[in-house]
Amino acid sequence: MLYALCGKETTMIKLQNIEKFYNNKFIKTYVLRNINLNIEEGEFVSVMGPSGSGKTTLLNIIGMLDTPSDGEYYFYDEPVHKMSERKLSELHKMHIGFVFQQYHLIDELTVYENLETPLLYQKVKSNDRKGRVAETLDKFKMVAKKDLFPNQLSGGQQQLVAVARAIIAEPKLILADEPTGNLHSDQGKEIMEILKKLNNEGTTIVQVTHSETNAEYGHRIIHLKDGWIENT
Amino acid sequence: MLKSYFQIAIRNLKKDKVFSFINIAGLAVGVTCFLTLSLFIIDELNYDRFNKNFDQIYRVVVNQNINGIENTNSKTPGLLGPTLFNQLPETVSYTRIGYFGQYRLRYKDRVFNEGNIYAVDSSFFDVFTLSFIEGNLKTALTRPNTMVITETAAKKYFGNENPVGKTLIVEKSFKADYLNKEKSYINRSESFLITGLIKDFPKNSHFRTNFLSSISTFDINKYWLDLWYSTYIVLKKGTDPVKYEKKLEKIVYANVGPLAKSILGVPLEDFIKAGNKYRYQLQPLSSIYLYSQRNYGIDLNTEWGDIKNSDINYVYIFSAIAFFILIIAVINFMNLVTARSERRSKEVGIRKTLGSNKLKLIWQFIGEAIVMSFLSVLAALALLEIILPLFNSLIGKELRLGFFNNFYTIPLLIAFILFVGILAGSYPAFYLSSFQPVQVLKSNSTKGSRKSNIRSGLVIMQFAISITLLIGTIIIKNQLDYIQNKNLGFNKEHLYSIMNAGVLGTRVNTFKQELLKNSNILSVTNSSQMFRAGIPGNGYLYNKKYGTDPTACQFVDVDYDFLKTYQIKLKEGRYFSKEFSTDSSAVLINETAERIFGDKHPVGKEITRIGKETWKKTFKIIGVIKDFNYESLHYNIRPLVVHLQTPTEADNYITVRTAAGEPKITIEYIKESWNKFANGNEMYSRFVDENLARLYESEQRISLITTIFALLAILIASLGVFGLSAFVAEQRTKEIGIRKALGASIPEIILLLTKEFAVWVLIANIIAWPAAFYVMNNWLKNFAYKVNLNWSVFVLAGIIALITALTTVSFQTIKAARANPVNSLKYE
Repeated sequence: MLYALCGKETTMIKLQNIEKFYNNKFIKTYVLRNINLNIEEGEFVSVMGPSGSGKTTLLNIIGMLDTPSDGEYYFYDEPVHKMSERKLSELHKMHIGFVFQQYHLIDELTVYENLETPLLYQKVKSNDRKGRVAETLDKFKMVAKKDLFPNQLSGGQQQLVAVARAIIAEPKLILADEPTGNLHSDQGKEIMEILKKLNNEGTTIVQVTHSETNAEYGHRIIHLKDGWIENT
Repeated sequence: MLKSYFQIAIRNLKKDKVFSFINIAGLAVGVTCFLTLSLFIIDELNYDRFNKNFDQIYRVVVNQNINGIENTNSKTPGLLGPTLFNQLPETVSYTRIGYFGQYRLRYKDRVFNEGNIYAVDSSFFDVFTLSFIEGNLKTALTRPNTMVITETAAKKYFGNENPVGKTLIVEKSFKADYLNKEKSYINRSESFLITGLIKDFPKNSHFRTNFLSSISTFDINKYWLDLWYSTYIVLKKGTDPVKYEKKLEKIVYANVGPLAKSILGVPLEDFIKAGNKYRYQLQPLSSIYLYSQRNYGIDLNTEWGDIKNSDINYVYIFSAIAFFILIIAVINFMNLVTARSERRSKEVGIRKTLGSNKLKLIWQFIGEAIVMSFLSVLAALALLEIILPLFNSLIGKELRLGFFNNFYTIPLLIAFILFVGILAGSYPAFYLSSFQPVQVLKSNSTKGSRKSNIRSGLVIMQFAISITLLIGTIIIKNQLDYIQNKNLGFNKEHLYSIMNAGVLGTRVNTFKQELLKNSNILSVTNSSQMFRAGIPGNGYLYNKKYGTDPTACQFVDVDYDFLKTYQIKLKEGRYFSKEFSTDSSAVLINETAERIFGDKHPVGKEITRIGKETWKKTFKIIGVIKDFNYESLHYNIRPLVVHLQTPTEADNYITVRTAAGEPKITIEYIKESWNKFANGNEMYSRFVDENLARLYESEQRISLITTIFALLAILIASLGVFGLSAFVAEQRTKEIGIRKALGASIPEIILLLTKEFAVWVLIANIIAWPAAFYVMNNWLKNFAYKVNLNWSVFVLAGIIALITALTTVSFQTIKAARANPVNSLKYE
C-alpha cells in the first residue's frame, strides 16, 4: 500500500488548492481558501492564527476527519481526496494520532482502557496489546493511575493520557489541537517537551496553538488568517 | 412564574417535535388500548345485570353422572317450573323458555326467515326486566297464539305502524321440534296476535331474541326425563340456594323416581347408590355468561338458539393485556421524559444560580410531565372515537365511553393524567433538581449517567410484556391452524350443505335424485344436523334391556348414503343397505362407543335405547365406524349411535359431495334444483368447512383481538426504544466522535450502540417465556385437541422482538455512527 520510507525529506503531506466552504442559504461561507502546503516527514509544524481563521478545520482535513470542498490532498503521494471512506478510515487509524484541547477521553473508561481503545480498533492481539499499554503507562509514569477514571485526574494528567493514547499506536503523524490550551504553564511545558521528544524520535507533528512560546517548539510556523495562509 | 413554566413546557414540546410526538403518541395509543379493553371488560362483567332481581334469579340445570360420564344439561323437564312454583314457597316466580327453531314469518308481503323464535311463560317479564313500549306486561302472553316482539322485529315487519293488534303468521309446514314432539306436522299456518312491543333486549343479555311467543300455544312435554326447556326462577330475597337445592332432591325422587324404575328396572335409590347422579342444580344468573362451563360444566351442546357464552378466563387475559399495555405506555413515557430531562441539566444549573430552590424545580418538571400526559389523554380520547366503532364491528358489541352517565369517568381520567404525570415527572424532577450548579455548569462535566438501572429495567419489562403477547398470538394462531387442518375422520373438502332441507318435506328424495343427475355431484345424503350445538343424546344399555349402567350416547339419523358422502371409514361389520329390510332396527356405533361398551366384538350384539315406552327400543349393532369429529374440537369424540331414520324436519341437513374443481357451476345447479322443489323457500346453504369454522368464532375473535393488541404493544415499545436510542445516541455523540477519531469503523460504532439494547431484549425473553408458557398452557386446556407448546414458538417471538428492537435502534445508531466526528468534537 504505502512504500517503505527511509530517505530523508520525503514529502508526507501535500495540499494543493484546498478550499473548505459551507453553503448557507446560497451564500458560500469560506473557512479555508486556496491552501497550498507541503509537510515533510519528521517535521514539527505549528499553525497559528486568530480564532475562526480555520486552524482546526485545516488540522481535521489533514487528519482525514473532515473532507475539503475542493482541492487535492496527497498523503505519501496517495490521493486522499479520491479515497473511499473505508480506505480513509484505514489510513487514518494506521498513521494518525490526535490530541485535543479538551483531551476527549472516554468518561466511562479507565485510563488503561482509554489507552487500549486505539489498539482494539487496529485489531492488535491481546498479549501484544497488554504489553504496549504497560510500556506506554511506564513511559508516561502513570502506572499507578491506570485504574482511575478521567474525572479523577487533573487536567494535565488527562492531557498526558490523551497524548499517550495518541502515540500508543505508533502513528507517523500526530495532530495536536491546542494541546496545552486548558493547562497551566508547567503542565503545558511538560506536554510540549514530550511532543518535542517524540518529534526527535521521528514522529511528524502538526500543532495548532495560540501561544508564541509553544509555537517556537516547531521547525516552522504557518500563519492563517481568514482561511488564507499568510506569507511569512 | 407558573406562566413561565408553562411556556417552557410548550417550547420544549415544540423544540423537539419528533421526540414530543413519539412521547405523546405512545402514551395516547396506550391509553386508547387501555380504555377500549376496559370498556370491553366492563361490558363482559355486566352481563345480565340490567335485570332488577339479578341476585335472585337462578337457572335450573340438570346434573347427571351416569356410568362415570358426567354431563350438565341446561334444559329441564317441562313440568319443573310450575312444580317448583306450586310446591316450594321460596319460588317467587318462574318462566320456561322453549326453543322454537327456524321458521318463516309473514306479515302481508313481508316474509323473513327467523332463527330465534322462543316460546315463554306469561311470567317471563316477572323474571327478566324488559321495557314495554306497548301492551301490558302482565297479560301479554297469557293466551295461546299471542306474541311479544321487539322494536327491531316491529320495524322489520310493520315499518312505522304500531304492531300491537296485528297478526304475524308462522308459515305452514313446520314441526315445533323441541316443544311438542308428540304433535307431528302442523300442516297449516299458525298465526300469532302481537300483544306487546318491547325495547330490544340489552346487548349484554346472555339470552336475546326478537320474538317471544306464548308457551300456552303448544302442548307441553310432560315427560320428566325429556329435557327440552330452560327454566328460570326468582327466589325470595334471602333464600339460601344450598337449602333450596336440597329440596330439589325431593322433587327428583317424586317425579323421576317412578320413571327410573320402569326404564332401568331398578328403583332410583339403587341407581344412585350404584354411584350415579341425577340432580337439579341452581345456577345463578350472574354465572351464566362467564362461568357456565368453568364452574358448572354446562354442556354447550344443550344451549339452543342464540345463547351468548364467554369465559371468565378471557376477562382475565384481556385485563392483563389492558394493564400491561398501559404499563408499557407509561414506562415509555417515563423513560422518554427522564431521558430528555437529562439534557436539561444545564438549565437546572442556571436556574439554581438564579435563585430557584429545589421545590420549584421539582414542580416545574412534574408540571411539564402533566402537560404532556394531559395532551396524551386528550389525543387518546380523540383516537377512541375513531377506534371504538371499528372495534365494535369486530367484536359485535356496542361499547361507548360515556363521560356523563356515571360519576367516575371524568375524575378517573383526571386522576390518571395526574398520576402518570407525577410518576413520569418525579424521577427527573428529583434527580435533576439535586444537581449542584457548579458541577453541572462546569464546561466539561458529564451529562448525567447514561446507564440508568431503572431505565434498563423498564425497557426490559416492556419487551417482556410484548414478547409474552407475541407468543400468545402465535400460539393462538397455531391452534386455529391446527384445528383447520386436523384430520376430522371424514373428508371435509368439496362438501356442501343445505341447512333448511326440512322445508322440502317428503320431496326430499326426489330432490336428491335431481341433484344426482349432475355428473359433478358425486353423492348426496340426508341426515340430522352435525357441527353445531344441540346434537341430541340418549342413554343406551349395551347388550341388555334393563340395568343401572346406561351409557350416554349422542345419535344421528342418517340415510343409506351418509358414509359414502362423508367418506367416513368403516372399521368392522357393514353399513346400512337396502338389501336388508331389517336395517331400520339396526345401528352402527363409533369406535369411542365400542371402547366405552368395553367389547372388542360388538357387531351382532344389541343395544337398547332407554326412555318411555314409545321411545324405548332395542337395536342390533351391524357395524362400527371409525371415529370422526362431528362436534367442535373443544370436545373429545363422544360415543355415537347412528340410526337409519329420516331426520326430524327442523333438524334436516342435506350434504352434497361435489367433484373437485370449479364449484360455482355445481352450486348454481343445486340452487336451480332447489327452486324447483322448495315452493319459494330460500335455500340456506354453505360449504361444510364454513360450518366448521363457525364453531371457533369466539376463538377467531380472540385471535384477532390479541393480534391487534400484541402488535400495538410492540409498536408502543418500539416507539419507546426509538426515542430512547435517539437519546442514547445523542448523549454518546462525543464518545462516538472520539472513538471515530481513534479509528473506529462505522460497523464497530453501530455494534457498540446496539449491544445494550440486544442484551435487554434477551433478558426480556427469559422473563417472558415462563409467563407465556403458563398462560397459554391454561388457554389450551379449553381444547380436547390441541397443539403442543413448541419451544420454537418462544424462540421465534424472541427473534421477532430482537429484530424489531434492533431495526428501531438502527435508525439512530446508523445516523450517529455516520456523523462526522468533527461536529461532535468542536469546542463547546
